[in-house]
Amino acid sequence: MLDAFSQVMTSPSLLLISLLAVSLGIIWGALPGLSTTMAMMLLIGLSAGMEQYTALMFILSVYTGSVFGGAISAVLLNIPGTPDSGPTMMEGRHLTMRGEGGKALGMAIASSFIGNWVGIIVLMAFIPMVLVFALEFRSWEMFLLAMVGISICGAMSSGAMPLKGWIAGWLGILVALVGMDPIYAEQRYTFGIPELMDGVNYIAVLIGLFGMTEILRVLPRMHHLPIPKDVGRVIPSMRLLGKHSVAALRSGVVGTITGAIPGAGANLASFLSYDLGKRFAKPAEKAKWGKGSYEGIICSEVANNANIGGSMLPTLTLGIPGNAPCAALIAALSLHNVVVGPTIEVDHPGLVYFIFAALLVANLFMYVAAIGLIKPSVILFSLPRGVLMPLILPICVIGAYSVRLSMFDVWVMFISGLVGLALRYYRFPIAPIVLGIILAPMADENLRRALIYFDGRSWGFVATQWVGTVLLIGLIAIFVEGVWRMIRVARAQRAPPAAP
Amino acid sequence: MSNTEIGTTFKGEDEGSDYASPRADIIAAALLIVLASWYTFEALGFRAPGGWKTGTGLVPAAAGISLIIMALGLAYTAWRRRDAEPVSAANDKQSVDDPRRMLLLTAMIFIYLLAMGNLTFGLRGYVGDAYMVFGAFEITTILCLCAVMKVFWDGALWKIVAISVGWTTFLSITFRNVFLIPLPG
Repeated sequence: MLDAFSQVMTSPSLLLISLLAVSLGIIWGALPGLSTTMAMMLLIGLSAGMEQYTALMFILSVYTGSVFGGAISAVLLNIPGTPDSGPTMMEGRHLTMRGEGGKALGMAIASSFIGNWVGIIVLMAFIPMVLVFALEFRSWEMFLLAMVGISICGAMSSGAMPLKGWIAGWLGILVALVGMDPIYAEQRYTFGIPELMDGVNYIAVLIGLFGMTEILRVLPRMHHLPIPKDVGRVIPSMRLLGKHSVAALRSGVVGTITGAIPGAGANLASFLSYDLGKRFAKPAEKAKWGKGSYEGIICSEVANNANIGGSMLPTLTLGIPGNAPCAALIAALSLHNVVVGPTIEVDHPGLVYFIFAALLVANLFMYVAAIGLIKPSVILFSLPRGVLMPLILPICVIGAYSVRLSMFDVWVMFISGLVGLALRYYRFPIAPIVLGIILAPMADENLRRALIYFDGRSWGFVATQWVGTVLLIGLIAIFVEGVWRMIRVARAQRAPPAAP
Repeated sequence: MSNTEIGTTFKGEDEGSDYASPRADIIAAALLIVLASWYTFEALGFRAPGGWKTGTGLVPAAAGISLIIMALGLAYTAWRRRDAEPVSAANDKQSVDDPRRMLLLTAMIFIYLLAMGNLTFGLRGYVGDAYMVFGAFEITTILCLCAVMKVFWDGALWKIVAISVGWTTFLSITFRNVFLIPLPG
């Protein structure tokens, strides 16, 4: 660990990349409409030309910066820059109206800093244990794990309608199965197109779904954003944070745990932590919630930043993305021939420690850069969408093209953008598609291997594979809970309104 | 939807996801059934030399069949809600505010990509010590950005041209000369 940390700290180029990437992430996250996931997806292709460690440092720093960046517009503009800063907005807008916007942002910076620390410490503590456990996984368990990942993401991403989340995940599976079959080398759904023999370039698909879709959706809108009032002095107050240390710690734990659940991202973490914070707040503090509570900002910001460390846990140990930005991380790593999963420490010794070090350094830079970047970000808010969104268009093109230097992939990106737009129109979530695309090859290969292994054996033998059995029960439980949730929502909608 | 209404409650990890109007959900279900049926039909025709358990079409067929079942479920829930008020009518509209402007933008991007893939023009040479390329990517990107900004921003022409040329040059130099990533054209 110390080796990795000193490797980062003694490399001026890595430090510079981290500082630049954190700054880019903060500005990106601050601009409404540009999400963390979009930043990560667009940058995968751009990291193709970098060396492995540089690319990792770049991507992780952007991730760290952009999760915080959402708080800036949430507090100053009353628009969450990223969806997970919704609770920050609820409290921050009142504080800004009272002339305490700078102090609120200072609190958001300090909370994000602490949240990142909690997430990283938990990640460092648990990763060796999970890796040892994950080495027990064989084909059957890996297949079930992939299906659990896709299904749980579907269930989490679509609150009232998990069915749509599952359908989106299954669409990702359909896309991922295009190309050469890994066992018999038979072509599937290639229509004789040579570019499809290697499968659909999923990086192009991801850029299309998260980049092109947003351009097509947001740019034609006519309205513009308001320019924020004076920010005031930004003071990250650790003393004030200390007053709410219990709430900070609880939010850190909530954020990390939700991060470790595949599909449950920063959005759930911040809302859940905010809700818990409100329930557990002391009466005097509780009276301030919804009217400008610093504790509310702490709960939201600590949780969504702790989520980063938590989401790395299943990503690095099992190869199951903790959330959509982590799917981008997996894609970026695959470009550098790194396959994440139980054998990551065997195949790439030291890489996990480098990731710890990169996250720590990015967090330190986030604290510094955030203070300096708030006022420049405010200037960028005045940039019309008609200028901002077209500038992203060539980045989408370069990102899709740079992976295989193929115009075919650029067209795949464009078509994915149109499909993404249609899915948004029909109110389907996008994130489960990403998990479907990434996990389907793993599910395909491992299911067929498992069936060969179980050939001629009894159901009793299958049941004795206890990890697999637990995962199978978990998978069934996800579907049962999702269907039950849909039934409850349908009943609630049909129920007559209560008398006043 | 006003600004204050955005993101104030948790509606799932993906905020854009919810019930659509019953009609939209039925159309979506019908499209999914057609897609999944074709996918399954194709999968059943794949080779299976070692039996169905290792067959190339096993997972595609399973995925297709389960997707058909899910799409039927979606159609059923939409049918049950057929007489109800659309749950998220306002949000449905939010997806595409102005279809004409969206179609115009799509057409512009389509022409941009088509031109980039087919234009063979390119200038190469040294500016000082730096090897510079001015090819299809640069030409089409500048033209496309100018056109898109003119339509969707309507700022002063000199500002549009300056931003388009400046941004394209920055990207071109950064990727061709710093990251050493070739660009289209």
